[in-house]
Amino acid sequence: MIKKIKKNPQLTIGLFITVIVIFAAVFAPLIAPYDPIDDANLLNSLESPGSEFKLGTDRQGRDIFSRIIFGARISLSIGIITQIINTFIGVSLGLIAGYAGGKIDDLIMNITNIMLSIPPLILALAIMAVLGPGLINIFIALGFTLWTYTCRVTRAQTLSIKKKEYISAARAIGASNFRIIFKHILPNIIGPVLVIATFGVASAILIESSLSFLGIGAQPPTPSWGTMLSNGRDYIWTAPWIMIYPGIAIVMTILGLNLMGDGIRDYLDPHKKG
Amino acid sequence: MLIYVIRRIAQSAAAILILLTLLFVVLNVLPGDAALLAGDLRMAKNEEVIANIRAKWGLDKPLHIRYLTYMGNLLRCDLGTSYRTSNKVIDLIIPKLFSTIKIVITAFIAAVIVGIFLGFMAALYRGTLIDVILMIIAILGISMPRFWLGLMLMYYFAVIHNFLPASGTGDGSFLFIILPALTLSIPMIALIARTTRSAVLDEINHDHVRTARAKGLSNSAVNIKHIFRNSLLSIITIVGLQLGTVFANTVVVEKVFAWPGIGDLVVNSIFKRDIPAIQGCILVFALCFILINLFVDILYAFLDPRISYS
Repeated sequence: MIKKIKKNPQLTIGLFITVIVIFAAVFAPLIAPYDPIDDANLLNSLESPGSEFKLGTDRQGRDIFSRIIFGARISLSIGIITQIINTFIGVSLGLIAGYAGGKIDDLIMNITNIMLSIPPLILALAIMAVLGPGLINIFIALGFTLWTYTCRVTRAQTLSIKKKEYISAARAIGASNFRIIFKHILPNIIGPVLVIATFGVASAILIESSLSFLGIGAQPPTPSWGTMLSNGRDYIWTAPWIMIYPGIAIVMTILGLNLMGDGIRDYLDPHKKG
Repeated sequence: MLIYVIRRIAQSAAAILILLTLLFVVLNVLPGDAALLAGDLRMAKNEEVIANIRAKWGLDKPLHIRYLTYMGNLLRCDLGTSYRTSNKVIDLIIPKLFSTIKIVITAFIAAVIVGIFLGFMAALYRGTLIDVILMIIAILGISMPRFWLGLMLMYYFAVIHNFLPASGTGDGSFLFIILPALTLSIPMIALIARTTRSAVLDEINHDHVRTARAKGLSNSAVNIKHIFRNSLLSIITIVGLQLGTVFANTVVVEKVFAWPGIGDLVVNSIFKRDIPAIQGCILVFALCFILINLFVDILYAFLDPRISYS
């Protein structure tokens, strides 16, 4: 297996970057030299990067590096938690639609297609408009909007597996629907679902940072990467480091997750390697 | 074919109708008393004032009557009246939409020309340094959040080198369009180039291409008539999808460059809790997306006669 991963540079690089981000998030209090919120000192306001503050400070004199490290916690928890909810909704609806067929299938797929006809950022904006700004509301807005793709893929896979002979065989020996779904169908769709979930974590992180950048996501002083960039815009002439480094953190995280997604897809299906 | 087109139009109409209904229910039922939000009178607990506001915006009527009124007005292209400025929402939206379309079209034309050209080059020179560099740019372009890309372009071109204006519309000259349009187009270029490359690579090894070369056609004739024309189908699909989402992406790009478009309007309306304006803007975004997708699907049906759409 290690040999296989070595042959797959995308997976190796993606995994490497993602592990670094997870490590930063988990051990944030140990890595960060300062507190991301409380260590504000106006005497250190807008310091450029140097020996004391590696990546400089913001208007309130807070250390940018520490805030980026703690920001990884917010981005990753948004990405992972919302994706768990989405995957659960998507897989459940996809399995029901694919397995039951008929009117239930039509209903679920119509809802899915309508959801797909609105860009996710706009859908999230509409929900945030109703719920109001705030980090918790982002979990709600993203947790219930990004499941459509998972649902479509799960349904398509279920439809093709349902026709296989081993399903008829299982049914012939008297297996219940419940058993067929959980023992025979579900294990066969985990691969593609995992790939979509990896890309989904990346897009949830991107949408969260966009909403926070617009000012309707995480609110200051929460060290969200999007909020930091939004502040940085005002200091682009005097203190560009405020907007440069959090952006690099976002790009690296998204790049890592996208490479990992591509890598897992190639790993699971070597024929499709393009 | 005709049946496919009609069914596709009906589907889009249904999607728009359901979307409108959902938007109406969600925005009017959930956030509590719209009159309080509209008047921002949570401080002044004057029942009479609140009742007046309710009566003014028709919020004292039952929900289903309000829904029917809203739908009826929509048929007459009336999106309601802004709670904040008392202007017609449609009058707020149209100049902003026009302003957004300016950057969207500039970005789109640039992305299609540059993206297809780069993808084609990468495929023809596959495995060389050109190919590798182009594909690294492509994956970076996809992973970069647009607002950060915009900030970096602003930093490079406006702050360090000072040869493009940083933000706003200025005197309306084309110089002000360049940076927002460039920000919108770079991720599109990346995606179009990637798709073009793999579509062309699929085509390049086909028998008919080899036959064309064998019968002595010139290189450019083979490239254009046999490879490019056949790979156009998958390119059109991705280009169409991109045009649909590019409107949504203007929301963040307009914030970066303080561009007074519809994205700017929706964000401000959210802050002001101006429900009719939010409703109108989101409707416009969804309409653009749905109509463009409908157009691409129909175009696709005409371009690819092999597939039956019955």
